[in-house]
Amino acid sequence: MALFSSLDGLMESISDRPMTARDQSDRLPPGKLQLLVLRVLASGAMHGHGISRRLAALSSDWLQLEEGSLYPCLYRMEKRGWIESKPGVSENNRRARFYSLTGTGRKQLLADRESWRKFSSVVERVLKEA
Amino acid sequence: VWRSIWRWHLRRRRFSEEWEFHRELLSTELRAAGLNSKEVRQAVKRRLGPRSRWRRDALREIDGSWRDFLNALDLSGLAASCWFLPAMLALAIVLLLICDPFRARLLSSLVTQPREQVPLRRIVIVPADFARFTWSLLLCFEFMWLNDHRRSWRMAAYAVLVFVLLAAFGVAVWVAGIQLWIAIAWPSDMLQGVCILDFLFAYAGGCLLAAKWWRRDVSARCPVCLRRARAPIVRGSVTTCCSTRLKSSRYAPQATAFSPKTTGTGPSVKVQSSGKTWPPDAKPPRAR
Repeated sequence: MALFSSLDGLMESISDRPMTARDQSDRLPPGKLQLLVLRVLASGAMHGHGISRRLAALSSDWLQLEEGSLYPCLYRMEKRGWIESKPGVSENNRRARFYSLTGTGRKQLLADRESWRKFSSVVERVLKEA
Repeated sequence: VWRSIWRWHLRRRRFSEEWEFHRELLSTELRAAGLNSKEVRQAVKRRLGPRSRWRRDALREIDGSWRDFLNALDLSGLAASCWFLPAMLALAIVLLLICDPFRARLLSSLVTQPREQVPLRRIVIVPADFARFTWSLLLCFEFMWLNDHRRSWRMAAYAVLVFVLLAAFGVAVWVAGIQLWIAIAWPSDMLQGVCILDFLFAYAGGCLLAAKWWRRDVSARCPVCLRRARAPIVRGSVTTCCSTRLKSSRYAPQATAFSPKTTGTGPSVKVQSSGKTWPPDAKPPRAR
């Protein structure tokens, strides 16, 4: 009985806490983190920590990434030429690397956005009519 | 190569710097929110996730992994250098001396006791300087070959140096093998005899293969720069990668008749006396 009660408690705590990276990795479609990062960077150059803060603020802390996962994603996008990075000085006078969108990145953002809109509208239609 | 390795190092450092920066800002935020240092540490770990995993993924994206380090080393370029082979052979000899617990005896049998013999009970006597004899014999044959195929004094010096190091390594391997053979407590004389005979034949075969490999290496090198040519130009009997310099060299080929036999490790371009190239679709080599 003690085991069951502790399991119940655990389930409650899981359902109450915000979505973690492990939860969202099952739900966030692949490649959509890149779309979110592109969108965030469209508003201006930012460092990695700034991007994760902005993502958390825009999603009202619902989308909580493991912030370390941002860096492989940023490097991948940089390799593809969607973003570029430059060394700079942060608000607390520390050396940091600032990421900004390139022309290719802007085009990619538009394309990804369109594709996401189509995908979500199709899913929505199916859910309504099924 | 050094520049490539330095860039690889910078790429690796980039992730660490960004991670540290992120971690410090996060810690400052959490501390400002009223968490104590233990809670801050735990929260930072939870929010950033496993460092090793993200580091591995990130380094793979920016070509900072160990595999990329090997690429940065440009091993094929290093192996093509004329210093690579002598250095490797010298290193192998030194390693053998370091690893051998009876290194003093090994050195003395290499230098001062050439006539030491190892008795093989009741079957045969195997001289410990069998290796010396084998390598001396090979040395005579290979020097005759080198005299016929000599293309420059540099090439001859390189070939002699490599062969001498190869022979020294070969003799050291033989002596170490004999030492091992003596040290083992054999259950029977027959087994001991069979093993030494096997070792002897394997060693003789290995020496022949090493000599063949040496010839191939010498043939594949450019007589001007001594590098192993990646895209060698075969001019008559000469393989080179420095076409312009070879023209002014006294070892420039006399005959440029087409010969279907190719030498070298990479794709080759054959230049005929008519100026046509072989293979037909290959571009003629451009003078530097």
